Amino acid sequence: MRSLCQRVLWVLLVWATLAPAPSLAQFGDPIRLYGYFQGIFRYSNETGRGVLNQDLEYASFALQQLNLMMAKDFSPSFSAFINLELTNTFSTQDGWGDFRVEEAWLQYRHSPGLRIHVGLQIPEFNNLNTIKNRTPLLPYIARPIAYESSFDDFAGASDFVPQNTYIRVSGTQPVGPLRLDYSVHVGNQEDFVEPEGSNTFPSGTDNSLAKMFGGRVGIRYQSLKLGFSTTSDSYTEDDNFIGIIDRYRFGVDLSFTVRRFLFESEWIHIQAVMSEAQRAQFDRNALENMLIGSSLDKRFIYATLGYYLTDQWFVYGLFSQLDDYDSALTEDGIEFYSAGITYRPIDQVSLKAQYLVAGLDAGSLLTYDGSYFFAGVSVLF
Amino acid sequence: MVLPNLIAAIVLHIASALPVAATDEVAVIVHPGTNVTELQPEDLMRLYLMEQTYWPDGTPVQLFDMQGQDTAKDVLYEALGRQPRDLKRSWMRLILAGEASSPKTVANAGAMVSGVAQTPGAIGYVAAAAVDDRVTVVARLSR
Repeated sequence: MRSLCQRVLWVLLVWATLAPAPSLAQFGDPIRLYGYFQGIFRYSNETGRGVLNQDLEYASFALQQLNLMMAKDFSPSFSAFINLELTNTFSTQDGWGDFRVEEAWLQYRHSPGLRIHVGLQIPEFNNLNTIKNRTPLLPYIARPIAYESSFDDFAGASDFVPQNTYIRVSGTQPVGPLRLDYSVHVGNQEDFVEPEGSNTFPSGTDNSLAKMFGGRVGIRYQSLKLGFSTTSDSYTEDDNFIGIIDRYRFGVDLSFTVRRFLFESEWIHIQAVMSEAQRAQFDRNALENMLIGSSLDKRFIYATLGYYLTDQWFVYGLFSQLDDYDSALTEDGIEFYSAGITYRPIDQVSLKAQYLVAGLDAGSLLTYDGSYFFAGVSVLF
Repeated sequence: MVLPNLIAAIVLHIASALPVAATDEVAVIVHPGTNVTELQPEDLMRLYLMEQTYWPDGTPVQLFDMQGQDTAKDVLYEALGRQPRDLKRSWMRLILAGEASSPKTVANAGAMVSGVAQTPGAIGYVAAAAVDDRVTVVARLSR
């Protein structure tokens, strides 16, 4: 009898697991499952003198990024999207790379002029932030450095551009031939600190009242796109015992195409506001440590000029400069010059090659020269 | 005998190089089930920029686009004020943001008309001469 009950239960369990639930499974349009990956080869040749007194030359293959995406339209008003990201040849066996849920949101679409996204998402900030990891859209392998997190997160991408937000209201309003875009968002502040060993807060919980607010307003006319972005949040400056700092990010983006030419550029300024006591502590720290710079502000600019040789071939030159006034090593700026070529035999495949040189001269403290060659393939599936 | 033939050949050559209004007239076509009979330029802009992804009756919009170079494609994109590569970048950006689904691409006018006729919510474009009664013409464009 017991055996019969177990069998019945087993059959019911299997049926409940495998049988389709028509009312849910058939609701809305079919789920769209897609994604992309980018495999790369990298050759690096770095020479450092001063604080960084070493030469480093190596060549390496890697799966820089793999993204799996799921999108579902429930109705004309509601849709959802999930974006899973695996970076740097992710392998738990080898302890390589990172896996993260980059986006998981629900959208309510009232009209093109009013859309509300709720859930984990990438905030709009300048032109590149929301697409910085969409490798099929980018001609680059090494992205403008403030956006580049693959190669040891050299610049500290989260210092320059906001990474996550949770509620976003956005829309587009046509005005004659123009498109006016707006987006405002609120989420956790970056770099929040959880209490160590606390059982009170589950991991990933921002236990502060402070939150990050931000937004972007923009205008589009044909291929011309101009936008102004900002965020306001605070972060803990642990390194210099300063404490919690109010931080404001400001950004401007400009891009357009003229015939076969494409121009893209951005300017980002990070303003860290210190109280008088914090400023005094910062100055004391700077007197004791010659590596500390003049302020906690940062600045980044980049400009790309590209040319479509044909619809398949695209060549470009890229200049970027990063000024991190927090450090005496970088407050005079690190300059990056890059050139590359992209071949897109079909819409889903991009073959890329890029050469990048970086230079830093902080006198006797540090001189650094790096040259890098990248080749890669980006595949959209 | 040679001279008239030469003149005829030159005239034919010049005539073939001139834009011919009839061949450059493009019809924007939709699936008959969309219950839309006319679209204004601003409507076309919203649809092809993927700002409008549903028809008023709630049917999802399915864009059709012509593969490669095509005269009808040139006329439509000129009317939209966009270059094909710019629009393609804009589409790919929206698709990878989870905001829209991929347009369907077809190789020729026949496939465009058949595809639009067989796909609920479809909108496409084709040389006006290639239109048949399986689809509804909602706008006409010309250079």
